[in-house]
Amino acid sequence: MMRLEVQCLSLRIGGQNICDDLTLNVKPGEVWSVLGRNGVGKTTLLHTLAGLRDPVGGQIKLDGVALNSLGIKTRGQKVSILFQQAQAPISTRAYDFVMSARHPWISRWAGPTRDDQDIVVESLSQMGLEELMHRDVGSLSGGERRRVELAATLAQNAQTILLDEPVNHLDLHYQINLLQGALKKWRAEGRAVVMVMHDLNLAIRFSDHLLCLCGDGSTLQGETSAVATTENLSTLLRYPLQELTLGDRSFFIPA
Amino acid sequence: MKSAHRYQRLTIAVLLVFSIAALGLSLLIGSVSIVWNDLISFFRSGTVSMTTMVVLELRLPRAFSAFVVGSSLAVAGVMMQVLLRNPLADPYVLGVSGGSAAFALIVMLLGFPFSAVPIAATMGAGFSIVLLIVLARNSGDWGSSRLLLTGIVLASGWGALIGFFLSLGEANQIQGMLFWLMGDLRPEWPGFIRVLVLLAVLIAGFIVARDLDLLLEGDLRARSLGLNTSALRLIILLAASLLTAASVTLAGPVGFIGLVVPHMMRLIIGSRHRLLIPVSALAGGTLLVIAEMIARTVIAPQQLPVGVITSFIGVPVFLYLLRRRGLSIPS
Repeated sequence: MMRLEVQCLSLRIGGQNICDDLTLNVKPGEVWSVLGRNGVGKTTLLHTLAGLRDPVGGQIKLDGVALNSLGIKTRGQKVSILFQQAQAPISTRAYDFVMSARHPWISRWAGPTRDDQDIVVESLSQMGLEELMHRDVGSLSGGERRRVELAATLAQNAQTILLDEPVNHLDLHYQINLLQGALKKWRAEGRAVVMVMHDLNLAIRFSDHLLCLCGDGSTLQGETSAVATTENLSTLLRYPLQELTLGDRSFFIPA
Repeated sequence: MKSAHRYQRLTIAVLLVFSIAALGLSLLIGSVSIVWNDLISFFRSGTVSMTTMVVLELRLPRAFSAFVVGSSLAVAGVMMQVLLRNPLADPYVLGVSGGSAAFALIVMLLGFPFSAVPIAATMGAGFSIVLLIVLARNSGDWGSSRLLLTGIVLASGWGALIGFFLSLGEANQIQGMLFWLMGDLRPEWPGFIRVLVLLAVLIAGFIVARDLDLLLEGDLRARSLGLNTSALRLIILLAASLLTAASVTLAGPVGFIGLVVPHMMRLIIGSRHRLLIPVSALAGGTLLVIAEMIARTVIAPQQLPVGVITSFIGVPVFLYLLRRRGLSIPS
């Protein structure tokens, strides 16, 4: 069964054609990266997959169930999204911010349980935030705040995870930590991950499939090794690239 | 976590004591002071002197009204701050009280039945908030400067409308109306419906408290976490309008309570609404009872409109907040 299934999806924003008739099948344990130039609609695609925006046409299914037939709270249990930029609340502690990601799981009348509290603390410590747990989110640095948001994604515990530039603002070791550690764990747990990555080489290194948005509504997709060719990527980014090989890894740099 | 709970309980207990003390004090203090012996004899035999009786009959309802108005405004402030995602939102500053007062005044002067006034006041408040949302909305987010400017312009628009209708009024009504427009409490009971509105909002606020916390984190995030934000917004809009209308029809547009009280309470107990709402209600009530007491005594035997006192407190606090936060949402 597919975790995330997209059939004949058409998306437009302000006259721009993001995709026409896109069909996409993400299996449990797969990690996909979405590539494309600035403004081709990568973020819009992710928001649509999260159910935050209605497509012009087509259907999205999570675990075989149509996204728009899910209750809004059930949807929050099945799919989580890390936004490119979070709006800062008036004032909230890191702990409370991560706890709010448990919202889809918390009953209105019973409130957070012991389990919810444990999950929140564990998610925070996985992101190395034990010390900052009680700090106001507004007082944290950009990278620390990003880690709080990632901890919230962990705590939400959805089977389909959408990440919009997850390593934004992160120090190098957190970038690699996240991409190596979290992605490995999510793969093993059978979750599906779709992420938008700014860094071409990180995307190629850490995802097993690529989806390229070409900007005219057409798309290109497939296994990373098949899609990531100098020719494809140069056309996609409209700039000539050159492939460098180091050991068994390939890197693409501007020619 | 344990000590946090104790701290919260302590805060509520202290505020309860304060509010009861403020209510008691406002009965005793005034241009005619009640003698302790009178009170003691009242509790012993149930009889009091004529003066005390009159004073109590005037002061008790007014103090009680002050409490209800203060609570309503503080909670309305909290609601508007969530709705507009801005700690500077307040029914008075952003012209919501003004809209409510203008609608109420117009309906009165046009000779509609008196029962139409509260409905008009609620519609005026709701209309003002909707106008704010429509005019100040800035690509999905709320810029403070735009919101404040829009609110201030709306407020002065309502003010002009009110001035226009006032000048049509008869000379002997004008002083009363002017006092009312500055925020004035008369010796009246708050009335069953107003208390009911306040209690209903407090209960509803308790039920959706976590949803309010989540909405503050932004519309997209709240929706992605399974919150029906449009429905919640509608509830908040209704609650804020009803509370504003309830207090405006009783006491006129009293300013800054909705700004000052939630701000102080956030500093003390944080911004979780399960606690912030009831605590703001208690503190708002207490503050207005005290302000009303000051308004009655500071130039006794003459009285000041209570709105003058709250503005004296509110303006510096507002300017301080504006200066400290700047004109943008902290991000």
